[in-house]
Amino acid sequence: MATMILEIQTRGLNQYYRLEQFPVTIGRALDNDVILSDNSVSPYHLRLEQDAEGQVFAHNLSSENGTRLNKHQLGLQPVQVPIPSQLLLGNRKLRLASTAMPVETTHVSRCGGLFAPFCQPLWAALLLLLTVVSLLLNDYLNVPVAKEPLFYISGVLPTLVWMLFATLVISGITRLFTHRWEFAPALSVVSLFNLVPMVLEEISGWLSYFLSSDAPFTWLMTGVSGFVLIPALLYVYLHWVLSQKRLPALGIALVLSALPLGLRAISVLDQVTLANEFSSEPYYHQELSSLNIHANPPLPLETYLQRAADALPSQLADE
Amino acid sequence: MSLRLLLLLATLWLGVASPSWAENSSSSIYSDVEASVYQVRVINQQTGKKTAIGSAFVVMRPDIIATNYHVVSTYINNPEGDFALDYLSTSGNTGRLELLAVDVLHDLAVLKADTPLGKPLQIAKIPPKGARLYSLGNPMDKGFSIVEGTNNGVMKSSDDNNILFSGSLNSGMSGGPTLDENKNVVGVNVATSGNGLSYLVPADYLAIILERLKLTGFQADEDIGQRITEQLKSNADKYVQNLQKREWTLQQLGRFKVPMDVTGVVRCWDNSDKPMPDNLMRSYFTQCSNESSIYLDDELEVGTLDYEYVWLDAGEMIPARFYRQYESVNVSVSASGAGKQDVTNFECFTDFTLIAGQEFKMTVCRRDYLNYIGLSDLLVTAALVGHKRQGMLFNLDMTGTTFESGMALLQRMLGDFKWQP
Repeated sequence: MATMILEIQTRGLNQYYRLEQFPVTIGRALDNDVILSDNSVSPYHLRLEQDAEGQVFAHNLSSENGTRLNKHQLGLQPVQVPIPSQLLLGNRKLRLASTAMPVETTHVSRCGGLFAPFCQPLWAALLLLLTVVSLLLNDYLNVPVAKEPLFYISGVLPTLVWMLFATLVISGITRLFTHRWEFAPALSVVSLFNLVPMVLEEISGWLSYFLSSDAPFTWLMTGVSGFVLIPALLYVYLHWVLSQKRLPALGIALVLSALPLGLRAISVLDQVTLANEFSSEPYYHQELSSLNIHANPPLPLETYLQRAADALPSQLADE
Repeated sequence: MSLRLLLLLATLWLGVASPSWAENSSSSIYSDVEASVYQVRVINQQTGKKTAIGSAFVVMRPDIIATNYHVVSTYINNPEGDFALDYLSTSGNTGRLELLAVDVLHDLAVLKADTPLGKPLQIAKIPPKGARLYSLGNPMDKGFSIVEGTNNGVMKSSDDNNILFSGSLNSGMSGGPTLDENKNVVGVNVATSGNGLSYLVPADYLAIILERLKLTGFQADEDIGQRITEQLKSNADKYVQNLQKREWTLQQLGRFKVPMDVTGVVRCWDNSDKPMPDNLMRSYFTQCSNESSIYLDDELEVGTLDYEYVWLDAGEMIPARFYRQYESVNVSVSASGAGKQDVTNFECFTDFTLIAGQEFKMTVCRRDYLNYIGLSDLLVTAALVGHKRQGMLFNLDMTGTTFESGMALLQRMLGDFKWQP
């Protein structure tokens, strides 16, 4: 006969008791066989007994918070317990199982290959460096006057402080799961969170100029950067760094992104509403690019004017 | 820079009415024509109160009076019947008026009363420069007055051909007559820019409307709105045709020669920023304007033509940095105050084109007037591309033109561009 195991589920690592002699008493009092120092548990809460055939019976002793066996409330009569079974003593979850029961497959760290930037410190440092350089470059390109290097550094500092704070928060939360400080993955995620929008903005500006169209900006900036980036980074972090299963990882990522995405959605909705209202200003493609690469070759002036006239008929039907 | 004229429409602003001079000739003229000068009031039918006032005078027939279009524009622009037109005589008589015709280009309106109002004034040619003129009206609703001043001739530099009158016209005198020594009307009071600098519409334009009305037996025009639209459209086309024929001065800006001033029509001003010592980029900015417009409503004027050129030099900046600045100034806005009750939204077309052999990214935007079918605003902006360290912007803003004429003018202007290698 397989040995019985009592699993007491706690955050982090579960406790296991090998049950070799019956009866077994479970409760908060210190003369129990299994002591549960949970104050929702009665001093003498449950007695497990075994009959000659090896059947296990649960005898609920608690009249306070009581016991549930596989979600059914137990009375004061002993009830036979199938193996395995879930027990709820007050608020404390326990599981009665046999040692022969197979355990879950080992979580092998999947952080490698394409996702190596999320877990290797060297990559984290590289991403941080890239982010800082991009921020500095962005500031430098935006300022049309001669400035001291210190000006640009002081411009980047607030972002760096924010990144440090975010890294600490993420690695702090991670520590609750893994019981280790995971600075490198947190720093990678925070760096990417800053770096990706900058890269996307550059790409979408270039593509918008190339196509004389707003579509790249709409898709890359509003769509990808605004709505996909946060849940995607969270998902990658949860699945590949914290080794969460796909579906729970996706669920947690979506729940955590709900607030920022909701706020973005409101602002996008506002923009759409505004775009449909009257505006005294024209809306046109203002992008300019020093590379000057565009899909359409320049038109001769007459052709251009003809196309413009064709493209802009009167907006009033009754003319 | 731009000389903004104040229309002499009362109730919109307050000021101090200048006292009229008491001279013998003035007093005799005033007493002779007093009975032919009226106040015109636009009455809100809901409240029964006047919302705008101006002056008017009896002309050609005892029951016909003339005033400015802008005095009665509230009545015209609200055709649902919310407003009515009234007259008030110097002796305090009042009555209803019927609108017969308008000339929106010269800011004139002709109205008819049910009863004879007084002795019609005669229209005469403008006397020589320096001649004494006497302007009548009811400034600020303070009572009928006469103002003496000097004729300074028809203005050559602007194309509305108004008479420059050195005398102090005030709000509420709009639409009143300006007389020569013989008590004949030579002009209609229209605007002031302060300090005794006032403007009159030559009475010849009024004579034209009256002659036309005489042929129809002084019947009111059936669709005044349609008439105004026709006047604006035909004026817009003629305006551009006239511009096409004129001599445009080509001037150097950066490495381009571009069309700038048009003698007698468009004047250009340099508006470049003063260079700062730490500025890495230099920019040269020229703005051109026809400095004139046609009044349609309190907040709506059309017939403006503005264009500007900006030449940008990157200096030592790297191209990527220069183009960030270049892109940030690549913004074109309309100077018009037209609102959603007046116009549609702008629709734009953008593509690359070659002007004087150089590549430009050019956008043409158009919006249409809701109440003047066939009139549009045209906004054009072109940015020189393909030069790593130089940029040029050309912005053109035309209001109340026909789209075809606007495009024709654009073609003419761009055709004049010359590149200096």
